[in-house]
Amino acid sequence: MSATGPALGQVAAWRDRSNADPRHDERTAAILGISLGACFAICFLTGLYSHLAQHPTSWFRLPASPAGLYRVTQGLHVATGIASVPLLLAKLWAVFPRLLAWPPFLNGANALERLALLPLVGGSLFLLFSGVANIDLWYPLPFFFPTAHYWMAWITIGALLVHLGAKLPTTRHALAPASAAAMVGTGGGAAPGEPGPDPTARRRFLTAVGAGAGLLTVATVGQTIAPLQRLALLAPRHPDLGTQGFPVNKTGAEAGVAAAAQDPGYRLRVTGRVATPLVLSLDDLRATGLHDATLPIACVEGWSVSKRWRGVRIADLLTRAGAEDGTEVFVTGLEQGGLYGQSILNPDQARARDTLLALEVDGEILALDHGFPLRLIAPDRPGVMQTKWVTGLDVR
Amino acid sequence: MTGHDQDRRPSGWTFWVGLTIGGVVMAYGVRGTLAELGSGNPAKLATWVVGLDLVHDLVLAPTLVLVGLAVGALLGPRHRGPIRAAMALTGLVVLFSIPLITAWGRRPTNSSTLPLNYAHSVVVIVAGIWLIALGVVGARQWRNRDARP
Repeated sequence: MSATGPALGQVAAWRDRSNADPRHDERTAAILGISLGACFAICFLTGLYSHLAQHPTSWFRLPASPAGLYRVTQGLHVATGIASVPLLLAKLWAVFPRLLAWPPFLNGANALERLALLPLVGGSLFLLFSGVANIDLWYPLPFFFPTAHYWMAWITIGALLVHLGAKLPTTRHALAPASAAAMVGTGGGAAPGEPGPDPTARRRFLTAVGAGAGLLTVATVGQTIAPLQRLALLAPRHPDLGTQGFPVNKTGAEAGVAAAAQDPGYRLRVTGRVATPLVLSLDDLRATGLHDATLPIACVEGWSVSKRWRGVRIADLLTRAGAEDGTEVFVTGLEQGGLYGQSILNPDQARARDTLLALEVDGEILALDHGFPLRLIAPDRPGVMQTKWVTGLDVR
Repeated sequence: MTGHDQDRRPSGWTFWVGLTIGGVVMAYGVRGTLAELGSGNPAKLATWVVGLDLVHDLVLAPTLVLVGLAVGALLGPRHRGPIRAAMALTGLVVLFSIPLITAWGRRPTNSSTLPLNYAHSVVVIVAGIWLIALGVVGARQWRNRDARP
């Protein structure tokens, strides 16, 4: 017990010194907060787009063009999330002395604002931890990642809005030019007899934080930006590595479809709201006429790669079957039991010129791992919705 | 009352607007969590959120502070900055790479999962960081060689 008092005294002395250190002052906190807020806003909006793409609603229809839109939004989501890791750690380090403020709150408003820091900080750490784990294909959470990540994003953004409202006047003041001049070289954090903090400390600290964000970005973003592939030393996926030279999310063996996919009796069935249901063999499909399209596979985990696909236009099959205009198409595959053995094409995507049931990629017959004998490939869709081993088109 | 205390008392319309809108957005998130995450899982999620917060506040941040103070005590002012920055960047890269190096997510049935030698990658990156940091220290030493007694 006797050691507690001096220890707490030392912590309090460090806190008070640090509060006057440029690396811990309001201007640094404001700059990092704005950077982090911008990153979180990008992550939230791009994440919302990804969620809507995978959970269609009556008021949102995934557009069929531009073809690479999802590739950009999800690439941005993951890259910005990764860049946020050093920004968040730096921001928390910069404001750490304020965590130790005593008394813990001064009035009711202060208590509410501090209470909102728990979902803000804990939620931010959870979002970045779970997101990084997910792109690394590591699933330590005892619940479904996408649901938890999505709803925690709403909670965290809500807490961020509370924080923003509370800190806006302080931020405005801290970023004012007069305030900047006053804050540089205050030297208030120095112990008696010691020189004050380096007036360039903030710039150096922020440079290091920027270097961290840049470093992680450059070391990973090559998984979606082709020219930076060689620098992608920490990318969980490499766009050139995998069966037929690009990554695979689930192999044919993992999906348990190897035998059925290679069965000579394989048929595609076009059913539902059509005048003439179709049952087509692979030869029938080839005789329908093949078309080429260059489209990206863009994974929710942030990697993407553009490929040249050859296959049958779904629009042609819908016309041949006499499908009604404005209908959506439920695409089913051989994979059983998983969440991604089927997907829905909205009316725009189903009838887009480049929406194919692909038989070939880059001039080769599709490998089993990429969906042999037939896979869906359509513009502006998450990779998990590019259904593989397709056996049915159910028009609804 | 100090200026710092004044800043700790949020007030004005921005605070109340932020609190109202933010509160509604948080409530929407909590409702969605309770409705969709599955029975018993919201409590597990809360445990993760609070747990990560505590790990940061009680372990990571104090460790960073203590290491920073130790470096400050051991090294002169000209060397502190680059060494602290190199240590922080090394820690960041290693922390970020733990799931890659351990390859927890690699699947033997799928050669495209975690396909690189990430331990090698981390060594290369960390070596680059320290090369730059020691280069800066050396340059400062050289620049100030005449200032030494």
